[in-house]
Amino acid sequence: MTMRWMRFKYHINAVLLLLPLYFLATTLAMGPNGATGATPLTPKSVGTWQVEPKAAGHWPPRPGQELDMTVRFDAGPVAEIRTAVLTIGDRAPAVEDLLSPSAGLLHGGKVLREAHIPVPADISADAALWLTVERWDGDLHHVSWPLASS
Amino acid sequence: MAKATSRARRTGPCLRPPDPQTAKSDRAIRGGLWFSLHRWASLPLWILLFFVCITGTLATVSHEITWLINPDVRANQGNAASHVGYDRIAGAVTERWPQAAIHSIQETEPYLATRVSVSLPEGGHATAYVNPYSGEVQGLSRGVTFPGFMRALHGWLLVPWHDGRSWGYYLVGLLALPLLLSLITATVVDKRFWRSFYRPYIRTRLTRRIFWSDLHRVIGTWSIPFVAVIGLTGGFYFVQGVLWDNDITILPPAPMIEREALPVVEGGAPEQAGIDAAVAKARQAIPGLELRWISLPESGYHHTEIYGLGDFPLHSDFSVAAYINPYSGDVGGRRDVDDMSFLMWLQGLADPLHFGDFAGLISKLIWFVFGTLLSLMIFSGMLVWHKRTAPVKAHAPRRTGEAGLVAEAE
Repeated sequence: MTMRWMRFKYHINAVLLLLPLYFLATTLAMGPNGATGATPLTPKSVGTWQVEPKAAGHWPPRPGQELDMTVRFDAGPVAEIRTAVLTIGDRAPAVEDLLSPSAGLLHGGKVLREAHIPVPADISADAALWLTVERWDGDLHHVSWPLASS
Repeated sequence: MAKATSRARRTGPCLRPPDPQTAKSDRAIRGGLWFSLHRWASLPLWILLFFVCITGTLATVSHEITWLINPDVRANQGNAASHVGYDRIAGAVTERWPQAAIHSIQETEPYLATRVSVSLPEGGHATAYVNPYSGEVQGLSRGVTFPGFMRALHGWLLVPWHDGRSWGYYLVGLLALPLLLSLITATVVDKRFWRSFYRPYIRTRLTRRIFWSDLHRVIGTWSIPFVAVIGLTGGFYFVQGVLWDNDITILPPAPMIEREALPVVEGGAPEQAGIDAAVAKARQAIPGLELRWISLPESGYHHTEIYGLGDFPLHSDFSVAAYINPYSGDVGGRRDVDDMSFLMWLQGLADPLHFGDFAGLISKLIWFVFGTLLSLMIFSGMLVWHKRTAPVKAHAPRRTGEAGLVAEAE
């Protein structure tokens, strides 16, 4: 028994190789776009654009974690967007906060964009997910989705 | 002793019967605190360490493996005189996939196609391969590429990144400890290890244990610089991960364009200067720039970011940078070798030394060979231990010796 254990114990770490195997399986199960169990939010319009957001991760977001979102700009010329960000808070971000670390910059495609939004540790009951779009003429457009009921 | 040495010379460097000195050093190796430490350093995690070494070895030549399998990634120069430029490369990709958005353009080796990273309109990412000498789009691979997969498998065991951290990355980084500890204890345990540099011998005609033990010692001695480099850079990646987690980055973040400096356009978007114009500006800002990476603006506030190598060849692909305003063409910031702090300079060494890609195919192949040897060393170390502790029944004639060893080892 002791002999067998002695020879066996150094091979136990082989179970660690199940890790990459498990994560490979979960990644393959997610499909090419990495979107599994995405929660679509109500499509809304902001400025001249019609937007369709989807929460890729957990919805409503968990405090202190990162929220992964995609937003599809279905109508309206996307070339007119100077920058677009998603934030979580009681009100829409000020123009000087658009690039702050608390905002998730929408990036990636032209029409379908993604963002990774840091969720504050303490979310108030009135907090919402805000989409802010700045046009090249400098105008800001906002739209929000409440965190509680959606 | 003199007699033993002359006998060794007669039989050649690789086949030598054990002389009294070897027998003595074998005995010296078997016991002691340092030997226990050497065993405890790597044996408990040997399979994981072996796996990370094998995958790392393959990752070193992953682009070259892709080159062998997939003709799309090859850059055949043909009769073309030079590079067609990045506006043509980006234009070719946009023409082929009009709705795809280009994020970045990457140059790796002269024999490999330029890699254009795009977001697809239906979602997901892809890499387009463009021949930089003809401007022809040769192919598109959706999702993760083979080099990307090998890197993720080796670097973080595919453990996903959340909030900028993956615990698999830390787990792999921690393996630098057993690696370095094995190296240090080995040099103490086998005090005459350096003899293997100028007189390597592997006894093939005796027991298998002696063969693997000799192989372990010879490979180990010859791999000391390589193991030290991999261990130290691997340990650096762990430290860098901890720094990232605390929002400390050694390289300063890219500067953004001030809102006041942005052009204002009613009902449209401002004209952007071409990528080649930005590259020309970057070459002016950083003379001798060896371009490796172009990041196209992610928002109106972003510069066109151009990264590469400066005059110092042992640095990462991102060590020097020029940030070009895509509207005005101005240089919004630059970092040349002279502008780097000592820490930045040091961290620039990590990637080329770990990946072995600082001198193209030649250094990659050298790293591949030593990576294979290191993997073999981990395996042979385990085998030696396994044979030493083999059950007494298996080697009846040598019962007393082996049993004694087991008792000593435990």
